[in-house]
Amino acid sequence: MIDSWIESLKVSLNQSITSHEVDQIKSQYLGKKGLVTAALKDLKNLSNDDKRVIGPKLNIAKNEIASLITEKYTQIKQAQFDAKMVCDYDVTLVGRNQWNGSRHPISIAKQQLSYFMEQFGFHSKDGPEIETEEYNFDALNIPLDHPARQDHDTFYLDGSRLLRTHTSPVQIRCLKNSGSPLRVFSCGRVYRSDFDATHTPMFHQMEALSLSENVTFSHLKGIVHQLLNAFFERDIEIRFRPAYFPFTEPSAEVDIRWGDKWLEVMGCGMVHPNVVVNAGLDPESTQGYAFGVGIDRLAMLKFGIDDLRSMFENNQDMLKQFYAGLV
Amino acid sequence: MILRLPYSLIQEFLQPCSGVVALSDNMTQIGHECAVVYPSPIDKNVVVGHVVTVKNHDNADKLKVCEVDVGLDDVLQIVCGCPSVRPGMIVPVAQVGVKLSNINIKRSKLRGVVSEGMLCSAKELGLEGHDAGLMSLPNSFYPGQIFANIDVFTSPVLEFDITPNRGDCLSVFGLLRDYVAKYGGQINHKIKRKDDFPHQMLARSETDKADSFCAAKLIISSGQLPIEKRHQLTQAGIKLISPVVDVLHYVMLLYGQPMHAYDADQLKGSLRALQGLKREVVLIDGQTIHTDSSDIVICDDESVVSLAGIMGSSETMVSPNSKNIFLEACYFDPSAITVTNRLQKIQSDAAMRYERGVDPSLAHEAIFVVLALMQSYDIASVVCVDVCEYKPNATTIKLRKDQISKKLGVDIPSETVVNILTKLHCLVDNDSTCWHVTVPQFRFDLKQEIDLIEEVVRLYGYDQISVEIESFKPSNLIRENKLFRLSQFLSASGLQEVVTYSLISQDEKKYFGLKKDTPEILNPINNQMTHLRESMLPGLYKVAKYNSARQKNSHRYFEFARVFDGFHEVEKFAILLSGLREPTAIGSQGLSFNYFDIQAHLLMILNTCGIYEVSFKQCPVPGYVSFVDVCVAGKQVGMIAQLHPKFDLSDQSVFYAELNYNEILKHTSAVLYKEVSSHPEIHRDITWISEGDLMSEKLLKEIINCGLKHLKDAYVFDIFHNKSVDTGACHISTRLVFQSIEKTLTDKEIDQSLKQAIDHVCKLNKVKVG
Repeated sequence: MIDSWIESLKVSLNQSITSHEVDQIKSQYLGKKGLVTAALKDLKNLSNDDKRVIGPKLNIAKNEIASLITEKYTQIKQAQFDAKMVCDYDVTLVGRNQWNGSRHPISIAKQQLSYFMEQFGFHSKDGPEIETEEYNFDALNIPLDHPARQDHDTFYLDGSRLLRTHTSPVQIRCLKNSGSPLRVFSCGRVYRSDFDATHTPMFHQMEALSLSENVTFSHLKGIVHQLLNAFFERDIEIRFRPAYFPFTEPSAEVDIRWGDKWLEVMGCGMVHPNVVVNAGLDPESTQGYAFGVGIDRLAMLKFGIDDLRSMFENNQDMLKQFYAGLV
Repeated sequence: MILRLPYSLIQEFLQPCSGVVALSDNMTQIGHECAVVYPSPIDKNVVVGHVVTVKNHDNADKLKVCEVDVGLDDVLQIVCGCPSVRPGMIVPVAQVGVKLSNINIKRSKLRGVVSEGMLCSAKELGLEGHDAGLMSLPNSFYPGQIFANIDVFTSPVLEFDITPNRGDCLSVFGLLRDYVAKYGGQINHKIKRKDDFPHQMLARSETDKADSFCAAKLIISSGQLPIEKRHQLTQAGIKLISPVVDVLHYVMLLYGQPMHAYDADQLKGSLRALQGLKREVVLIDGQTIHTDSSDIVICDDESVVSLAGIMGSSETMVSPNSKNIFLEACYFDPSAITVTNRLQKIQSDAAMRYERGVDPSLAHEAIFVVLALMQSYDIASVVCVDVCEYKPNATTIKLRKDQISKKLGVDIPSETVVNILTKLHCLVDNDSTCWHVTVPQFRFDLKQEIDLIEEVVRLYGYDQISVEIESFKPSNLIRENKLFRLSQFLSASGLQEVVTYSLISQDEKKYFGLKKDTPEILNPINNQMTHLRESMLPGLYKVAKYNSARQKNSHRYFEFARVFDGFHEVEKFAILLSGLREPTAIGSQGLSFNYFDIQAHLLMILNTCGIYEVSFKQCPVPGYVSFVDVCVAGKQVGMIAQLHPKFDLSDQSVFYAELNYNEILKHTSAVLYKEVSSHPEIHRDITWISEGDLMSEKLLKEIINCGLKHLKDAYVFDIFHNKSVDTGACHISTRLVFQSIEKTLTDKEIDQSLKQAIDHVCKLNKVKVG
C-alpha cells in the first residue's frame, strides 16, 4: 500500500500545474485526514511486530512524500519567475532627465586655477569691478602721463571712477589692508574698450601676489611652472622673456610652447618698489612677485576654442560640450 | 608701440646679420617682442625689362606699343596703357604665363596688336604704398633679372612691439644698439654726414622743455630717394608723401629722431620754441586746436607754426608747390609732450616717440644725415644751418652689490654685471659695496636701482635663473568652495552655466523695465554696452533668444556674476527657464517649464546651503505675469518672475529668478544633529475647502504655528479647484506627520491634535474641512 502512495503521488504531482493543486495533493497525503496521517494514527492498533516493520517504512514514505511536494513547489515558483523573465522595453531609448547641464569653460578654468592656488597656499581675495583711477593706475606706478595708461583703453564712469582694466588693483587693496607677508590671489571680470576675435570689452583675469622679505624671481619662475603644468595637466615647455609692466620690475611675459609656436599666456614680475611704497610699506623689507593670467585665454587654449567672442555667445551646442563632470 | 622694420634695412646696417627668424627670436629674448611678416611671393616669371622703343598704337589713342628687352634673344612686344611709359625705362615685366593677384598674363591681341606680357606697377605686383603708374626701377637692374630675387622687394618685415619704457629702441640704430649689447656684432653707420654748411641764426629755444634746437634752410630740387629706400619706407608702414618728407622719415626710421619740414616761404623770421602761448592753430590733419599754457609750441615772428613734437600747422606745411623748406630737429621733454598729447588728444608718430623719450643728442646728428641725403640724391640743396649741440647731463644710480641676488635669487658674478652694464653704454664705478652707474642720456627708463637690476637680468637671461618654490602656509577657499559646489549642483541638475556681458544698453534697460540708476560708461565702445546692469535678465534672455533662433526649444541657463545697484556691487545667481522640460525623453514630450521648476532650483540652492525656512511672497509688479519675493528669516534674498508674454519664446513662457549670494551666506548655519525616533510615523490627511485665496504657505504656517504636540511635518499633497461651483472653492489637501521620540502615539493623542489644528485654522480663515 505504502509503495503505491509514492507512485500515485508522482503521477498526480506531474499532472498538477498550480501551487493550489499541489496544496490539495499535500492535504490528501499529509493533511489532518490525509492518507499518511491516517496510517500513522493506525499504527497504535497494530501488533508490536507489525509496528516494528511498518513504523519505519511509514516514516521513510512520509519524508519522501514531503520532499517530493516541496520539490514540486520549487518547480512551480521557478516556472513563475521564468514567466516573468521577459523584457518588453527598448533598453536603447534615452532615459528620463537626460538633458544634462554644463559648466562654462571660463568657470571651469577659474575653478581649476583657484584650486591650484589654494594648494600652493594663496588666499582668495576679492576686489570691486568699479575701481578708482588711483587704485587702477596711480598706485600701480602708472601715473597720469604714462604712455601705458593710454594703452589700457579704459571705460570711465565719472571723473575718478572706472571699470578696472586688470585685477592688479586687488594687489594694492591687499597690501594696504594686510601688509607683508602676503600670499593672495583674485579672480574676476575686467573691462577694456576693445572688440575683435581676440579681444572682448569684458574678460577675466586671475592675479596672484606673494610678498615677504625674501621672495625672489626664482620663486616666481617656480610657481609659474607649477601652475601651467597643473592647468594643462602635462609638462609644458615654458619660456620667460623680458617685458614691461609699470607695476613690476623685472617684468616678464611667459610663453608656452604650443606646437611649433610660442604663445603668450601671462605677464609677471617682481613687484615694483614704487608700488610697495605707494601702499605705505618699506621696499627694503618687502619684496615679492605678482602675476596675472587671462582666464579666458587659458580656457581657450585648453579646450581649443579659437574665437574669444564665442565664449560670450553661449551657443547651446558649445555649452553642452563642457559637461558638468568635467570639474 | 609697433615698429615695423624691413629685414633688408637691418641687413644693411648690422654685421654680421643672422637669419630673419633667428634675429626675430633673439630680439624677443631681450624684450623686444618680434614677429616676422613675409610678403606674398612674386612669380619667378616677373623679370626686369628695359623699354627699348615706344610707339603709338594705330587703333587706340591711349595705348602704346613697346619693345621691351627682358634679356632674351628677341625683344618682347608689349602693349601698355600707362601714359608714363618712356623709352629707356627699367620696369618689372610680367611675362606670358604669370599669374598676378587678379590677372593671368596671356599672349593676346589688344586692338589687333599682339602683346607678349605686361609692364607692371608696384601695386600690380602686390607691393603697397608706392606711387601709381609703372614701377620705375634704377639702371642698376639689368634686363632679364628675376624680380623675386631682388632682396629688397622680397624682404620680410620684422614687426616689433616696443614696450613704452624703451623709446630708445624705436629705430634701426636704437634697436641694434640693444641687440649688439647682448649678441655682439657691428653697427655700420655708413651714411656719410656733411657738416660744412654756412651758418645762420635760424632757431632758438626759450623753454627748458625744448633743447638742441637744430634747423636748416634748403631749396628744393628734382631728385628723390631711390626706389629701394622708398620701398623700405612703405614696408615700415610709412606713407610716401614727398621727396623731402620721405627723407625725414627715412632718417627717423634709422635714428629715431622725428623732424619737421616747413614751407620756408610761409614762415616769418626765425623760429622759437616756447611754452605758455595761448593761440588757435589749424594743424596739418585739419583740426583746429587752442594751445594751452602747458603746451610747447614752435612759433615764428607772427604765429604758432607747430604744436611742438606733435604736428605742424597746415598753413606752413610743405606742399607740391613749395620751393624753399625749413627743417626743424629738436629735443622735447617727454612729460611735457605727454601732457599736451593727453589734453589735445592728437595721435602722431612723432608724439608717440617724444612721449617715450627721444635721445637729446640725436637732433644734431640726424639733421646732418638728412642734409647729406638731400644733397646726394639731389632732393634739395642746403642754404644754411643753425645747430645746437646737446650738453650731457648725466644721471648716476647706486646699485648695491647684494641686491641682485636678493631680488633674483641667483648669484651673478661681479664681472658679468659690470660687463653687461658697460655694454649697455653705462659707466660703472666700483666701490666695496656698490656700483655707481652713470646711465647714457638715451635711457629715459633707468632711474633707480631696480631698473639696473632689470637690465642686468634682461641681458644675463631669464632662462639662467633657477626654478624654486618658496615656503608657504596652507590656505583654504571657504567662500569659493561653496560657490563652486553650488554651480556644480546647478549644472548637475540640468542647467547650463553661461557668462554674459555686464554691460547693457539703454534700450535693454527700457525693454526689461529696469529702473535702477546704474553707472553709465562715459566713453562706451558701442551703443549696445553703455550701462552696468542691475539684473542679469537681459543677458540671460539674450542667450535664450540667440539659441531659440537656432532651433533650440529648451532653455535652462544660470549665471553667477555681479550686478550693480548704483555704484554698489552685488553678487548673484540668476536662472532662466523656458521651453520644454525634456525635449528628448520618452513620455515627457510636451511638458513645459513652469513656475515650480524654477522655484525648485532656487530651493535646491537654498537647501544645499542648509536653508530650509524659505517663504515666497507674491507681490504684483506691473509688466510681469507673476513676481515673487523669496525671503529667508523675513529678509528678501531673491526673486522669481514669470515674464510678460511679450518675452515668450516660441509661445513658451519665460521664467527668471535671482538669488543674492551674500545674503544666502548670512543665513547658512552649522549642522546640529537631531535625534532620530525609533517609533513609527503616523500620517493624517485633512482637506481644507477654502472660498477665499488661501495660499498653501500661509495654511501650513498656521498649522505648524498652532503648537501641535509631536507634529513632525506638514505639507500639501493635492490642490483641486472646484470649477463647477460658482465660488470656485479650492480644496487643499494637507498631510500632517506625527512622531514622538519617546513612544508610539495613540489615536486619541493624534485626534486631539487634529481638532486643535482644525479649530485654529478655521478661526483664522474662511475655510471648512472636507
